[in-house]
Amino acid sequence: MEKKITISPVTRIEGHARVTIHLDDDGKVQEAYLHVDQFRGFEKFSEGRHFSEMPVITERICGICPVSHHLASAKACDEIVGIDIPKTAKLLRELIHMGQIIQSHSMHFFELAGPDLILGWDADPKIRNVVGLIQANPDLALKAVKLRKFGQRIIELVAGRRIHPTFAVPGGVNAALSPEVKDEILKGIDEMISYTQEGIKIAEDFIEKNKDLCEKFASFSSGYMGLVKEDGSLELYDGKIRFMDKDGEILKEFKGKYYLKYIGEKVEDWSYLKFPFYKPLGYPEGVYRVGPLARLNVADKISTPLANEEFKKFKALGNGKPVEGSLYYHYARLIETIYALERVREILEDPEVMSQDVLRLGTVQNEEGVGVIEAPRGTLIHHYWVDEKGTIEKVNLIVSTGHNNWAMSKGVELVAKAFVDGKDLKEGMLNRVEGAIRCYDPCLSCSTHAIGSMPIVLEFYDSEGNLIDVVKRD
Amino acid sequence: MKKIILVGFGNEYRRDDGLGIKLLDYFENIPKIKVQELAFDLAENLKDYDIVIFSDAAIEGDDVAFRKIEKEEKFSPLTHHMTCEELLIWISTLYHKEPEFYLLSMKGYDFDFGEELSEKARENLEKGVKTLEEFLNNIWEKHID
Repeated sequence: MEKKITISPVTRIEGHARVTIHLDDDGKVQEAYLHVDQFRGFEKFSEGRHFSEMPVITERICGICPVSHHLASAKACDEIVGIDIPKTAKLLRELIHMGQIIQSHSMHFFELAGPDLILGWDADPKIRNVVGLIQANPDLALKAVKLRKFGQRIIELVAGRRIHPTFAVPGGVNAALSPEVKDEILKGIDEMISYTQEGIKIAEDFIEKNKDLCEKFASFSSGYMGLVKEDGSLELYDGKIRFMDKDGEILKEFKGKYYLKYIGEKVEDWSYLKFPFYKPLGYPEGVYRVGPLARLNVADKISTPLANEEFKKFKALGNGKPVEGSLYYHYARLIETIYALERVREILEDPEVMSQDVLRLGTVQNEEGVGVIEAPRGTLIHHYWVDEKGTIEKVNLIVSTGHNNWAMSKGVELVAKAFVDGKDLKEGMLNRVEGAIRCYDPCLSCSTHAIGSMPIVLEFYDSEGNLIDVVKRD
Repeated sequence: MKKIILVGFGNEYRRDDGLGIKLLDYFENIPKIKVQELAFDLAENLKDYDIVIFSDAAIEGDDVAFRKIEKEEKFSPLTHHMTCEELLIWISTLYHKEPEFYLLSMKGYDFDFGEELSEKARENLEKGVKTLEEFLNNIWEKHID
């Protein structure tokens, strides 16, 4: 009799994700899926609003990366008014985006990846928690808090608020940088780089000690997508979209506004979330990954020195081919954090960053606008259609968790088949399945956060759909 | 004088989910933080307070509930959201400080997209304001005595 295990981290009332694992009579995994219930409500909610409100509305999609939505939205609005924003405005937008990258990546590495890398999947559940994590390395925990706070502080100082800023507007930003803010941020960069380098050392030690695991854990071929600068180096704020195939060949580079020509979305009957793919290759041949691992795979180099040194080590892992192991996402995330910190310094040392020329006003010139940015978790696309008055008629958002939908499900399937024994289910097996998802840092906690019970539940079903057993993890 | 801070969390664009945020607007002359969700860096912001009062919407339970938060060693394996209990553990373990944590929760009914509270949620907001006023007055009166 076939059995089905469901791992269901119920994240409030929206943004749900479940893992279902189908077993055969011998308890072996036959198939496994990740189901993400993406919310499309914001797209409908936005219809009828004025386009200039979108940077403030859409940042409410996410409590962790509101700045990414804020900026992708502002870029889409720039296209609607047909304005090339002042260089200083671009620098300041990128500055808060780097703050976003720093705070989000540092939180993920310590709070979510930390238990996997520092405590291990088979650690006693009594210590595999926040206390165990802090006690294992209290100094690192303190530094993680300071690093995240530094990222948040950049956003707060430059944009006025650390969450839900109103800073970016169509045509630029609404405030210039003050000398005091510039000095405060500059003072902290070296210390934060040293903290991040400690994190990189932890990741590198883990890779060295677990080389085989890193090569095989949720490791699979796929395409990759991410923004790059004109010279092919890593880019997080602007640039062109680059597609790379599973062998590392660059298939296409194009401006973000042409995304519909190259990205299709496949519907599968077992998931509410669509599966994006590279249209010229079709589905499933065209499935791809986004986010830190993908970005470093598609990039030729990194424009800042310290990050580029780490980037060379990362590239060496693939021997000229894309790095495929999902665990390497954690390593890539830290390399990007170094880049973000170095980029903060570059931006603040740019002679034009203190200019008062930060905004160009305009009216509706185009009926559509597309904004593309590299959010911490991957490529984020905002596409708006407006009428002649600027009223939103239609919205299309493709978020990074959506791009990685196929990859996360594939990772879950591979790890479940390798580690889960349905007849002798152990905590560590489930930790590994969750660990495969954690590599991608999916944003499941978006949108609403009303208090409610959030256990992880494993439900066993027979082939007729009858519930035959439940394992609950509070 | 005990140092007190209010932390409201929720999403004002999901109707009743914004209850915790909206409640803060009724209180002046007291430190306040508004966030969409809790994360561990808040430990740094809250560690030097004696009393931290969180306000949030609830999807179940009483119309209004007010309770003291006790430490709870939980691990949210996939979400970025952190509970008040976890945050208390962070402050205690990391900074060796023991602020009192309280949670005021107000039941919501409509979590669809929108900015307006439902009628029942508005009633619960008024009850929540009254509950918090009484708690704060009680603390301040004790201090004066």
